[in-house]
Amino acid sequence: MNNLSRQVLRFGFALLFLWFGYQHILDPSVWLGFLPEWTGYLPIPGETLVQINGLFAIISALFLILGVYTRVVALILGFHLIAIALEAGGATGVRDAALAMSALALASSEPDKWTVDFKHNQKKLQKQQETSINA
Amino acid sequence: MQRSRIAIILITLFLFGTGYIIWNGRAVNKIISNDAASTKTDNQYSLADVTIHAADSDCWTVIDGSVYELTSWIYRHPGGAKPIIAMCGQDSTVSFTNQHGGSKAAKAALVLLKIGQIQ
Repeated sequence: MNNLSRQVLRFGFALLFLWFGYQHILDPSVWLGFLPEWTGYLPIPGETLVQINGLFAIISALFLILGVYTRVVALILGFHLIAIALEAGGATGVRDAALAMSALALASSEPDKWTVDFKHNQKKLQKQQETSINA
Repeated sequence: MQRSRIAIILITLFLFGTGYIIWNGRAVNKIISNDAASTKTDNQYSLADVTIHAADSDCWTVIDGSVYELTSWIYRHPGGAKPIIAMCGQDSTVSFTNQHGGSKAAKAALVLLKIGQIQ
């Protein structure tokens, strides 16, 4: 995957999770139907769970926008989407499963040039080169 | 180093945000439950009032002489939505007792959903 493709994928995912996260926090009652049935046994109200999930989505989107631990975050989001796909089933399940695969594709590729990860790796490489020259 | 700092800041934001959401949710629920507690004895409904609310978008039911608003509970019911939808707009004491009997968890789930008594 080239640099531009990775950037498009990363920002696309960030936009997706920002929008859903914002909607979850703004109007949690609309999303109650998507909560797994076992959450009914938790002592936390459904609206609160939806809002926490929304915050998780927004923070994950910020990780992706900045490109901080991009691969780890993409992997977590991929598994999160797989869980939603299995729970939702039907057309929503197929769509989320496809999104999960895209997330896993992002997790399996090297970070693009606009990420903090890329700069971090560059610095690390530079330091390694300097130490090997000095040695 | 810079990458770890950003990650720590974002994780801290998430933890504080989660704490705030739970705290805020509890405060709101306390107000709602206080309101519910004050209306538990005040509100009196007839069975005819309950039968109007027989849709999954507006679901009331009667259990042991108490009226419950189940709309928000339909899709959170651990046993699936269908049994709850079947209870909408009617006295479902028998079906509830047959299914849950003396289950404390089921009764606890009902407490916040109570809106009044049957006349």
